[in-house]
Amino acid sequence: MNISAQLRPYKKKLLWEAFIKSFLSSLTLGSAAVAFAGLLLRLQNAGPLLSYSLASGGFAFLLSFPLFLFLRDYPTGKKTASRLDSLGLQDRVSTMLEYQNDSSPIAEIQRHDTLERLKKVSPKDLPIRIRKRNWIPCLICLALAAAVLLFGHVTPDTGKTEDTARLQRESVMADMIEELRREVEEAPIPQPLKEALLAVIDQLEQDLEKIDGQLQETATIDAAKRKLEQILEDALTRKPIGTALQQYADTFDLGEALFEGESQPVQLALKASIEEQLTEPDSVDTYINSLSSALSACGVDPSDSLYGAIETFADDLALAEKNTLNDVYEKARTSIEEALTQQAAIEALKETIAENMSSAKDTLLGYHRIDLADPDLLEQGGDNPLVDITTDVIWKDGQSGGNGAQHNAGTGVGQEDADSPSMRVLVYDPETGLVTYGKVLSSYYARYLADVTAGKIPKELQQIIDSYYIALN
Amino acid sequence: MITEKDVTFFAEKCQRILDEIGKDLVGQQDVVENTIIAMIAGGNILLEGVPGVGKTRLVRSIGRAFSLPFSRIQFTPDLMPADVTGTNVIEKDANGQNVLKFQKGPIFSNIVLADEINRATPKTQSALLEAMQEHSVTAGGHTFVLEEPFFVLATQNPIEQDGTYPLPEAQMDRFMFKLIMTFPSRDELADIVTMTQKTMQEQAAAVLTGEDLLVMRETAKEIPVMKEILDYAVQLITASHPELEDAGDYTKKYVRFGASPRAAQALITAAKVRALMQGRYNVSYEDIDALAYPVLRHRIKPSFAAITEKISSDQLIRHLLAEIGKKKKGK
Repeated sequence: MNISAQLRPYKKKLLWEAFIKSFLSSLTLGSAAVAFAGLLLRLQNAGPLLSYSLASGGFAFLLSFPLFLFLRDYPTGKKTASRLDSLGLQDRVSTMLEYQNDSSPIAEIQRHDTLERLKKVSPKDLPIRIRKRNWIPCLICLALAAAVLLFGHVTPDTGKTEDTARLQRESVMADMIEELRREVEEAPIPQPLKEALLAVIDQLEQDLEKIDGQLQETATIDAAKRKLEQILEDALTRKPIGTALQQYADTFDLGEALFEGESQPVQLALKASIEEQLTEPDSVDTYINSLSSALSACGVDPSDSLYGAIETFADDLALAEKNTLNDVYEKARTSIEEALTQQAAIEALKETIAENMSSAKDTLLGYHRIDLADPDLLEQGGDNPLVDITTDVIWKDGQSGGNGAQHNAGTGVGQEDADSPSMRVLVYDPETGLVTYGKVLSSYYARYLADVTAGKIPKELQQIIDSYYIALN
Repeated sequence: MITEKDVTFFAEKCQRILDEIGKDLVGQQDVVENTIIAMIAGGNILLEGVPGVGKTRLVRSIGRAFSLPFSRIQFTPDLMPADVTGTNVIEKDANGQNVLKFQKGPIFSNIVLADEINRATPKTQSALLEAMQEHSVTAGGHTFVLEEPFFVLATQNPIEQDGTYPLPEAQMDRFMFKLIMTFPSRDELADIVTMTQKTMQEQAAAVLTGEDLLVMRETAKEIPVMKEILDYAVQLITASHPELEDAGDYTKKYVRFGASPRAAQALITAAKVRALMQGRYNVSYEDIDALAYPVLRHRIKPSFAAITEKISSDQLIRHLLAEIGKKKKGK
């Protein structure tokens, strides 16, 4: 008598149950692995959270499923018998299975009796039993895994700390906006320029209200700063000079007067530009470009020395009072002086705005400058808590003892000055062009966001870059 | 070799015994069933109950149904061992010489009713020990084998403890079952009153001979027992010992002495009989669970803590079953 064959239909039914149980158990283990890995990665800031967590969960699931199915849940003959007995067969099937090789009459009678009773039990009567202990832990682990993955990017700080930090940041930003507005409104600059600057500041305020996050905020400030600087830069190089000189664009005598004066290269350049302007009076851009080209050709850097050239030009005009075009020159001198005043105001505003916004950005990033006017503080060396901050400070070339600028390496010990060997001086040198991460991070991030918006960065790279910035921050 | 015919015979006889005893005793189904189980399994029974619940009547009815010689010993404080086992008396032989001749006591019967056994002194109670375990009596240097089947059915009263002698552990252990006869319900009491108005005489007819009983005993011995069930029974016994590793905290606190190995033997033997009586050819966990109470309740000695907290033996057994049952399910 083949007892295994008799039990096969029931075994098939129980195989489904085993499959479901193993699936749930493996899912529990897999979810737990996702949650654990996610938490670990979040705490360690190591690697992309989503993909690594899911990979570890998938690995745990795939590894455990066959183990659960074949080593724990698979319906063996004994398990099948036990389940059948629970349907009111009172251990008949289990006994039959144990005594299946017994040829004694009582064992035969027992088998016969059991099989007779088994005929009355259909495989349909065998319920698929999934207990709470199978699915409740599974649900809990799934919820945990989902929570870890969903909130993986949230800072681990407590809500209270985060709120306080956010409020502090908001206060810094509000102060910065207010200061910018005040400075722009008080500056002696043309009204259209004021309006353009205020429009950018208004936009910045709106943008800052919409976002939350230190990095995004500093990136937005950086972007606004660049816009403001661009507007001011344009104003410096084009409008005041252009407007002032354009008044005399149709006065041929001005060029003559200039020509007759000291033939300095810049003056020649200006004359040439004015003459060119006379041929195309409506094209200011062309005029400015040709002026810039002329100045560059004379070896003058338009961004740095233009003002000097214009001042010289104005002085020359003053010297030409004896000329027949005296009145015109006087007007020209006044206009150019006014233009220069505006230039100076714009330049001052540009610096103030840059300083103000950089300061606000640094505060947002938690960056603190070292007060170089306090050498005593610096002399304290490694014992000074501020020196730790100088890990980002660049050594001035020549003082480092090496080739160019270098980092302090976080030891808090500075480089000895050549003149006073016992004194340790920490100097931040803007001329080297080397700056701290704190200063440049937001601008890098802003550029990155712009590229993301423009679709230049593939999605699979975005998470890696995000992690990189989070780690740097 | 057991045959299907033997099994059928067993089931039929059991049913008839139950029917016959039912004529004399109202209610007490569990007690009657367990008494028959113990008798077929060859065990002695201790019946406990308040006066008038039918202890003696049950024993007398069983004696009639089994068609076996029946003797009754009323245990009293002045009862002597010789009154139970018998004694040597001087007789004249054919030559007129005085000779000692052993006069058999009431123990020499197939069914012995030891009524109110706890009223006799321990010395007299001990006179039953050899008979109960070895089914033999030693007197005057001679050992007399008792006729099979042999059973002792003792009764005791749980109240009126003045002037009684609690049975020693060794004696208790020789009883396969301790059965508690509870007070009948209102309907049962009404039936009892109605029935005894007609006649006080037992009505049970003889349905079984001593030989039949021995055949049934041999049949029951053949019933297969799964290893897991055997382990379960053994674990139940070992878990009742506070000094063993198997014991849980509850046992350690509330049990003073656990059940003896005889309990495990009794549990399995009785379970086989119960299985056959229920028309099964295998022992199940249910049999063990059902028989744990009569087998263990007089073998587990509660600790002082259990007595002060009024935790009965049955409660201890219930807890043990739950504890072992959990482990079984855990497997």
